[in-house]
Amino acid sequence: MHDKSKSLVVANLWVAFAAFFVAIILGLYQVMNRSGLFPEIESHELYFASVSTHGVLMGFVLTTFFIMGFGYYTATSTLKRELWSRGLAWVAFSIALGGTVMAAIPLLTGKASVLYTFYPPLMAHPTFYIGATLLVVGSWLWCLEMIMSTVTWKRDNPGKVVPLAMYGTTANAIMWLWTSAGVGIEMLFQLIPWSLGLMDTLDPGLARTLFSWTLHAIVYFWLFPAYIAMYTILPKLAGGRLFSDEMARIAFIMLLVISVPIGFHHLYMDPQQAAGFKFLHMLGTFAVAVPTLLTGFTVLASLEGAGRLRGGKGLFGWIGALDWKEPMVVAGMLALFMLIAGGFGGMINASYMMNTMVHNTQWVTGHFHLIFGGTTVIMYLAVAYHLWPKLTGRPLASRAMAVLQLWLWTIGMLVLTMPWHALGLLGQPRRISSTPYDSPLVAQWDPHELAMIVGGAILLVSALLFVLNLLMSHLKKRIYDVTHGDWAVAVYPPMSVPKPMNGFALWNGIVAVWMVVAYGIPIVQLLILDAPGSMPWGY
Amino acid sequence: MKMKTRKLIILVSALLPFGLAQAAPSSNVAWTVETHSLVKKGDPKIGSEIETVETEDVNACIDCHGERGAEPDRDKHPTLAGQIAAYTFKQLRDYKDGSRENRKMSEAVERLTDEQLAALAAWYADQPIPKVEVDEDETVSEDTMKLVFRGDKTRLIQPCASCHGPRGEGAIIDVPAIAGQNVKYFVNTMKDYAKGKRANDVYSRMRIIAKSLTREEINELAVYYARLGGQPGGGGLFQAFAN
Repeated sequence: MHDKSKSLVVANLWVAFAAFFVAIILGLYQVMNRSGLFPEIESHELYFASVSTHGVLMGFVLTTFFIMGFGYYTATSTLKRELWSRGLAWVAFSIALGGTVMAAIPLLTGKASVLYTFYPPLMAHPTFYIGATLLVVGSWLWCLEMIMSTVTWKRDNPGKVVPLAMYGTTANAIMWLWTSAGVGIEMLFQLIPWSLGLMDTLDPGLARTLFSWTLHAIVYFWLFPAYIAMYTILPKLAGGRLFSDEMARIAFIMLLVISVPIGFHHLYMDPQQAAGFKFLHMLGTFAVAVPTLLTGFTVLASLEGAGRLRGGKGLFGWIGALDWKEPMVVAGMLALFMLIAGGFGGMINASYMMNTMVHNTQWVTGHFHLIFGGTTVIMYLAVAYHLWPKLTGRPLASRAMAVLQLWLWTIGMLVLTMPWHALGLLGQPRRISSTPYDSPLVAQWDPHELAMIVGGAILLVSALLFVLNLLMSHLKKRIYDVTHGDWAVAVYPPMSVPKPMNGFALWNGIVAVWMVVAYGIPIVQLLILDAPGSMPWGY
Repeated sequence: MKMKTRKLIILVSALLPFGLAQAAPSSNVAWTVETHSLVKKGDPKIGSEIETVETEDVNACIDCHGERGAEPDRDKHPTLAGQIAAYTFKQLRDYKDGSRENRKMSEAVERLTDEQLAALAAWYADQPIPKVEVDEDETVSEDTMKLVFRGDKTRLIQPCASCHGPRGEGAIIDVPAIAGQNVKYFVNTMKDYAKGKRANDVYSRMRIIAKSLTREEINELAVYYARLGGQPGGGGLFQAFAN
C-alpha cells in the first residue's frame, strides 16, 4: 500500500481499538453490577450511563473507525494506487472523531443514558444526537471515498475485474449509505429538533420504524469486513486458495440487496405496523441467512483445501493440519464456530412466532454479543494482527500471545453469552440494572450471573493482551517495509465476470424498489394518519 | 308515591352533593402537551422578580422560603430550590384551585397567572438542591435504607428511589425532589398524607405509602433525604470517579 495512507489507517484503527478497550472495562462492570452479588458497586444511574457508553463505543466507534481504516488499506493495497482523495479521508476522520468526542461528553456526564439505541420518548442531550450524527457523516465521506476509488479505477482499467476485497468494500459502502439514511432522517427531522426544544411532540412509532431501517443492516455493515477478511486474506494465510471468487461476489451482492429492507423483525411486537409487512420482512430476514451460508461453505471449503495441501487426510484430518499458530486461521475457525451458534439463535429471533418467547429478554443481548463480539470482533482483531507489521514496518510483538488472546476471546465470549441466552429463557428481562426481588426464579439466575462475570473477566484479560501486543509492536525495531498486501487468489481467478458482478447499478435499482415496497406504506401511513404523538420522556 | 320512598329520595338527593364532592379529582392539573409547554416555557428571570414581590396582605415568597427558596425561615416551611418545575407548578395550581389546602399559599397565588406560576417554578428549578441543617445525633437504620432502595414487599411499599430517583432528586413527570428538604416539613407532609389532610396526590400514591410507614421510619427517611441536600448531582461516569 502507499506509505502516505499508512498513518491514516493507523489513526483510524487506534481510535477503534482505544474505544474497544474502554468498552470492555465497562462491560465487566455491567455484568458485576447487574448480578447483585456486589452491592457496594450497585448504581442504577452509573449502570445505564455505562451501558450507553459501552454500546456506543463498541457498536458505533470501534466499528466505524475500524471499517474506515481497513477500507483505506484495502483500497490502496488492492487497487495499487493512491486514494481518490486522501485529504477527504482525513476530513472524514476528523469529523467522525469530533462527533465521537461531542457524543462522549453527555455520555460520560450521565446526560445521554438512553442506551445506545435511538428510541424516543427516551431523550438525551442534543450534543449526543449531534455528535452521533457527525460520526455517521464522517462514515458517509468514507463511503464516497470508497465508491470513487472503485469508479475511477474501473474507468482507468476498462474490462478488468475489480479485486474481490475492493468489490466487497464498495458493496459495504453502498449498503451503508442505503441503511444509514433511516437513522439520518430520524436524527435530522425528529431527535435533534426535539431535543433542542424546537418540537413539543414526536411520533415514536415513526422513529422506531426509521430506526429499524438502519438497525438490522448496520449489523451487516459491521460484519462485511469480517467476511472480506475471511474470503480475501484467510485462505492465503492458511496456505491455500479461495474456493470461489464468484461465490464471494454473489454473497456480497446478496448482503447488499437483502439486508436493508428487513428491519421489521425489530418491530414484531410494535403496534404501529401491520402483520403483513412484518411477515414480508420476516421472509427477507430468513433470506439474508443465505449469503452467510454461502460464506460458511466457501470459507470452509477454502480452508479444507489449505489443510489438505498441508497434508491433512480423511474427512476431518484437514482441520488438524491447518496452521493453528497463525492468528488469522485461529480467528477464522473460531469466528465460524461462533457464527453457527449465533446464527441458530438468530433464526429464532427472526421467526415471527418464536420471537415472542424471547422478546425483550436477555436472550436478545446474549445473541447480539455472540454474533458481534464473537464472529465480527474476533476477525477485526485478527485483521489488526495481520495489518500491523505492514503498517508499522515492525514485526508483531508476539504471535503466540496473539493466538492465546484469540482463544481467550472465544472462551470468554462463550462463557459470557451461553448463560446470557439461558437467562433470557429463564425470563430475565433485558434493559434492567438489577433484580432486587426475592423469589425462587431470581435465585435460579444467580449461577448464570456468576458465570457471566467470569466470562467478562476473561474477555478483559484477552482485550488487555491484544492492546499490549499492538503497543509492544510499536516498540520493536523497524525491520522491513512491506508495501504489498497478502491477498488470496481464487482457485480459478476470474479473468472476466458478468457486468452485474463487477458493478452495482442493477443491485441499487433492486434495493430501491424493494425499499419502496417494504417501507413505503409503513412510513407514509404514519405521516398521513393523525398519530397522537408523545411528549419527551425527560421533560 | 309512598311516604317511605319519598323520604328515601329526599335523603339521597340531600347526600348527592357530598358524593359529588368526594368524586372530585385530587388535582385539576393534567399533563397535556399544552401544560407541558407552558411549564417548559416558564421564564426564570420573571420568576426571580415575582419571588420578592409582596403586597399589603400577602408576603413575598422569600419571607417564608428564603432567597432562591433555599433557606426557609422555619423548618416547617419547605425548601423550593432545585425542585422539579412541573411539581412546583402543579402545587401552585393546586393551591389556586383548592386541591391543596393552605390559606396563606392560596392567597399568595390567587392573583398570579399560569404563566407567572410557570415562571416561579422555572426559577426554583434552576437553583441547586440546598444543604439543610440536620441534627448530627440523628441516625438512619439499615431497615430504613432498605425502604429507600428495595422497598418492603410485605407492605406493598415500593422503593422511594424508584420514583424519586437514587439521590432523591425527583423525576418525570412531576415527582418531587425530596433531597435537601427540611426534616420537619417532610415529616408533617407525610403525616398529612397519612391522615388524608393532604390529598392532591393523583391515585393516592403517597397517601397509601404514608399510611403504611411507621412514625420512626418517616423520621429516619426525613433525616436521610435532608442529608442528601447540597451534594453534587449527575449520574455519569465522571461523577462516579469523582465519588
